[in-house]
Amino acid sequence: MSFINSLDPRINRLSIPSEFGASFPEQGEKDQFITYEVFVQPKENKAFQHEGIVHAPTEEMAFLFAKEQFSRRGMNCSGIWVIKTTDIQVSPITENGEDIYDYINKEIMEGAAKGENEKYQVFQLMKRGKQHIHAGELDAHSPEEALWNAKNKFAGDKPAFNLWIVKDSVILKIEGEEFSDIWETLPDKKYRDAMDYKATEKIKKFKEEQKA
Amino acid sequence: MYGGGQVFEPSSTNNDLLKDEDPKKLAEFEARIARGEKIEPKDWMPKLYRKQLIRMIEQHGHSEIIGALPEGTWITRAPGFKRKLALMAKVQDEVGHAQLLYGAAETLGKSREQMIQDLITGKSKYSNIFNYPTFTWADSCFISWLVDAGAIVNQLANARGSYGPYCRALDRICAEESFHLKYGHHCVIHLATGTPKQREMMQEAVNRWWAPMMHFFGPSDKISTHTEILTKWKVKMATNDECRQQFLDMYVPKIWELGLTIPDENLKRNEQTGEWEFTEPDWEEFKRVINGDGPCNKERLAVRRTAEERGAWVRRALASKTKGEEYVAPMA
Amino acid sequence: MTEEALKDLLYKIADDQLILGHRNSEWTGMGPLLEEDIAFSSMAQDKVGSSLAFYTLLHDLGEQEPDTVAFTRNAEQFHNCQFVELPIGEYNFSLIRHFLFDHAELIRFQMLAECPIEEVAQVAKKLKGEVKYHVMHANTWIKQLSNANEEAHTRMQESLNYALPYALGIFEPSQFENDFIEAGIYPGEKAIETKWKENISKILTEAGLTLPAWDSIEAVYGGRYGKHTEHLQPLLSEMTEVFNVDPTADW
Repeated sequence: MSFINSLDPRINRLSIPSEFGASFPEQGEKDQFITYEVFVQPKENKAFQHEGIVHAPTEEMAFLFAKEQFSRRGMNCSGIWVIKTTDIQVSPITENGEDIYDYINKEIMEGAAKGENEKYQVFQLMKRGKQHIHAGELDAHSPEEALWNAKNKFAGDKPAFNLWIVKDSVILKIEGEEFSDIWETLPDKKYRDAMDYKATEKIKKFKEEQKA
Repeated sequence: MYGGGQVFEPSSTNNDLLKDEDPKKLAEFEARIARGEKIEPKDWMPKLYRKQLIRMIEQHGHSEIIGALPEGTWITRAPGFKRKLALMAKVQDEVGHAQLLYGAAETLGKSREQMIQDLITGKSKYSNIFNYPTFTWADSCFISWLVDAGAIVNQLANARGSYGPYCRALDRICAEESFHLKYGHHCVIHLATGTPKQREMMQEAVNRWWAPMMHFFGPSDKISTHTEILTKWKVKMATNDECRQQFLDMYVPKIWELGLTIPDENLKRNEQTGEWEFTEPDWEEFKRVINGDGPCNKERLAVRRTAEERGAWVRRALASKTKGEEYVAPMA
Repeated sequence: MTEEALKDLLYKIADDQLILGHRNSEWTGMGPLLEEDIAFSSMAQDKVGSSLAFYTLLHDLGEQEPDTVAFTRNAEQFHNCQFVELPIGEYNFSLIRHFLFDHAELIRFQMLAECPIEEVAQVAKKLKGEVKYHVMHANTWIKQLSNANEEAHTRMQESLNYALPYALGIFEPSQFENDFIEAGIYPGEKAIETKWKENISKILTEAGLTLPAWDSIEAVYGGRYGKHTEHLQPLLSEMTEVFNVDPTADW
C-alpha cells in the first residue's frame, strides 16, 4: 500500500493511504454537542462581556475550551462565565435607536408564572454589531419579572437594543482568588503579540548596506 | 486568513429566491442596512442574504482550518524558540478563527457538523492558495506575512459588512492577524537580510508564491459575475480588483525594499492612474486548482478527513454526555 | 549543594518540558475537535515556554544560549525522561501522558516554589498557575472520557497501562538526590512520586479506571542520564532541521 508523501513530517507519521479521500462517501448524522455562551471579565471590577461560543459536552469542558479560545491573549483576565445557550432568555431586538426598555411593561411581568425568588444576571446590547455586556444582577420570581426589574434598575439615557436574562444559579463561574493564578503568566506570552516583532532597525541597516 | 473569489450562487437561482420575499419586510431590512445598522441573528432577513452569508462565512472558516496545514508543516521544525512559539501560536490562531467563523455561520442556521461534513466531502470550497505546498521554511514565512496580509485586506473590508456576528468574529480575527502580519514580516526580514543561503531561500519562495498570491483575490471583476445585490446588502464589501490593488499598493514596496525580486517584469505602479499594472494571472490554472487539480488538494482534504476520523471516537464518547439536550443555534 | 547539582535538576526539567511541548504541538491543527485543538496547543506552547524559562536560568548559570542548548545537542545529551519522547500515538495516549506528566509537574513546581534559590522559586511559582489549568484540563478529560462509553474506557485503560512504567521514569532519582534534600531545594523525586500516586489514584478511581498494583510495574529509567528510546534522535533531527541549515544565522 502506498501512503501520502507529505512535506509535513507530522502527516507522514499518520501513514494516510494515498487513495484516502479520493472519493467522499456521505456519512450519517454527525455528533453534535450543545453550545455554551462565553463571557469574559478582562480585569477585576470590569463588566463581563460576551465573547462568543464554544461547543462542549458539559459546562466544565466548556470552561476549559473557553479559557484558551477567548482569554489566551492580553495582559489580564480575571474571570470567565459559561452559560448554556438554552439557559439564556432573550428579549426582542429593537432598531433605529429605539430602547428595548420602552417595550417592557408591567403586564409582561404580571402575566408570567411566579416561581421562587431568585438571583438573575442581566446583559445588554448597547450597539448592534457589538457584544452584550453585563449590566448587573437583580432578584425576581420569573424571567419576566427580571425584565421589569431590569427596566427599573438599568434603563438609562442610552438605548439598549436587546437583553439577555439568565438565572444566576445556572452560570458556571470561574473567577476570584481561587482561580486568579491560572491567568498569571498571560503577560509573559509576548510571542502572541504583534508588539514583540519589531524589525525596523534591521531594515534600516540593510538599506544602508545596500547603498554602500 | 482568506482571500476573495468567494463562490456565489449563479444569479438565476438568486432571482427565484428573491421573488417570494415580503416586499415590506425586505424594504425595512434594506433600510436598516442603508442606515448602517447591523443585522442580528433574530432579525428578519431575506433567504438569499442568509444563504449567501452562510456560504461566504463557511468558506472563510474552511480556509482557516485548511490554512492551518501548509504552515503547520513547519511547526516541528521552526528554527529557535521564538519562531517555534510564534508559529505554534499562529497556527493555533487559524484554528481559533475557524471556530469563531463557524460559530457566526451557525447563528444563521447551519450546524458546524454539517459545515465540516461539507468540507471533507469536497462539497464546499476553501481558499485556493492552500492547495500549494510549502517546500521550505521560507514558504511558511511568505504565507505568514503576505498571504495573511492579503487576508487582512479582505477581512477589514468584510468587517464593515452588515451581519453582526460575522463582524464581531472579524474584529477579533483582524486583531489577531496583526500579530501574524508582524511575525511574518519579521521572519521574511530576517531571511532577506540574512546569509546568502537564507536570501536565496526567501527569493525562491517569492518566486513560487507570487502567482498563487495574485490568484488569491479571485478573478478580475471584469471576468467574474457582478453581484450587485450582495453589495447593496453589504455582504460583499470590496471587489476582487480593489482588494488586489490595495494589497499591491501596500506590500510591493515592502517586498522591494528587502531587495527581493517579484517574478513579474510587467509589475509597476502607473503613476498617472495610481493603479498597479501586472501580467494577467493565469485564470485557467486558478480554475483547474479550484476544481481539485492543484498540487495539494488531495492531501489537504485527506489530512482533514483523517483528523476527523481519528477524533471521531472522542466526539462520539463525549456526545453521549449531552444526550437529551437539544442543539440550538448560538445567540450572537 | 554544588552548581553541578543544580544544573542537573534544571536540565531535566527544561528538557522534559521542551520535548513534551514539541510532541504535543504535533496535534495543532489536527486535534479531535476545534476547541480542544486550541486548548491543547496552548498547553504545548506553555510547555515550550516554560522550558525556555529553565534554559534561561541555566544560561544565567553559565550554560550556552537557550537556542544553542535546545537546538544543537544530540539525544545522549538530553536529560528528559523517556516518557515525554514517545510518539503522540492516538489521542487517548496523548491525554493520559498529559494527565500523568502534569500531575507530577504541578507537585514539582509547588515544591520548587518554596526553594531557597530565589530565581528558581520565582519561575516555579509563576508556572504553577498555568500547570494548575493543565491539571484541571487533564482531570476533566480523563473523567469525562473514561466513563463515556466502552470504546473510550478501553482506550483510556490501555493507554494508562502502557504509560505507567514510563510515567514512573519521571521520578528517576538524580545522582544528587541527597544534596537536594539536605539543602532543602525540594524534597526529592521520591516525595513527588508518593504525592503523585496519591493524587492520580483519586482521579483515576473517580474516572473508573483501574490502577495496577504499583509493585507490579517496573519504572523505565535511563532518560535522565542520556539513555533514550529510538524516538528521541529523529525528533531532534526534525526539530533542528532548519536551524542547522546555518546554526550561526539569525532566523
